[in-house]
Amino acid sequence: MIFGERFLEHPDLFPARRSGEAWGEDELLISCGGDRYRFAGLSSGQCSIICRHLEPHVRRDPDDGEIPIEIKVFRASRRDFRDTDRTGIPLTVDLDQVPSSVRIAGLDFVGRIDWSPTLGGALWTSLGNERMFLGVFENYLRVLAAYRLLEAGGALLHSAGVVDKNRAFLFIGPSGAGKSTIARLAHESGRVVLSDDLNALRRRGDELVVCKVPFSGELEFGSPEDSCYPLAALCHLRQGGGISVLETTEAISLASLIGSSPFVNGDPHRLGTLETNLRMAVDRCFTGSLTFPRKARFADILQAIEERR
Amino acid sequence: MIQSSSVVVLSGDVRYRVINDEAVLVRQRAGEVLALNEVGTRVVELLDGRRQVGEIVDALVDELEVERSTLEKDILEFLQELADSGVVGSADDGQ
Repeated sequence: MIFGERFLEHPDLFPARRSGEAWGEDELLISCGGDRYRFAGLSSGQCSIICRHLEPHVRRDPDDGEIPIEIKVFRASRRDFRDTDRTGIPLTVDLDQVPSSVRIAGLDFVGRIDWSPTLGGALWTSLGNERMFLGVFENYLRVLAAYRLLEAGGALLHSAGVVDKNRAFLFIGPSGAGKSTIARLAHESGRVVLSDDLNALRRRGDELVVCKVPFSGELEFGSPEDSCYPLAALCHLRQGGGISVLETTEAISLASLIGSSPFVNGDPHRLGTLETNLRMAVDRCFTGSLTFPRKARFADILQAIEERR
Repeated sequence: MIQSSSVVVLSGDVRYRVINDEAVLVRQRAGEVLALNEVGTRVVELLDGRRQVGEIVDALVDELEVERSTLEKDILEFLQELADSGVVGSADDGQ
């Protein structure tokens, strides 16, 4: 399959560099996974959509000292995109990776991530004010964040992230593994839930921390947007009849984590970096498999993990 | 179909790393990952593009102290599963 042909009328005309006609002159600074991303060239309508839906992640303090990652937003013609059947594919993208850049094609957008030499990006879309622009924005930012977190010594992980006593527990697994269930149990027990779908793992100084990203799964938890918490444990989820925690071998833990790292785990140029980052997580914190029933008390689950750590 | 006379190799896009005698295999283009136990890891280590599966069985039968027929059956099933998921292929197919 040719890169982009699912989404684009002319995949061979993919933008070769970050240039084009901006949608407008608005800018937004977004907090995501412990980083700042500045989106420039937005229309006021696009800005409003992002602010309305991602308000807690929109930063009003652009001079907080952190250098943001710069992304430019450009117009694309609606005719550039195929009239694709949208059933079941809004979250999928096509990626084409080379050492210096990544090309992205998705529903109603194309994007680039370039290292020249620092990380930057560009997004071309045909959607101005439509509600669907939010989907385009999130689909692009997910991929960008996954690559940025690799640079930050971590990874974007399909996981439920729960905070207990100012430490983060990540529960790893594919769809249906029980991430939303365990997130709901944690939320009902009064604990902070970062996300039931995607969380950012990254290095901060000598420690590994877990930070919130603006992509929720099935549930919204209203947790603090800009906090990062030291990683306490990584548990691979299995639903079962009782609570049990088994320590897993390094190879099984690493395989599970690589399999839970979207976008970058299929990039042959960066797989080594991903392995290095995740190996550090496996070496430094408890990793195991957790079996739990749907009606378990979260405190009992945590206790079982703590007894194994 | 993998047979005792087959020469099996890892597919070109598979990345392979051993950690404490167990292996992590990644099909890079698909982003699919497998973890192998010690026996599976030893089998994969012996896929050198020259040995037939039967020779791999011979090499492992003393090491693992099992009956040859049992080991051969297990290794053929294991390699067939890997072949079905695109992790290995026949050397004759230019994998």
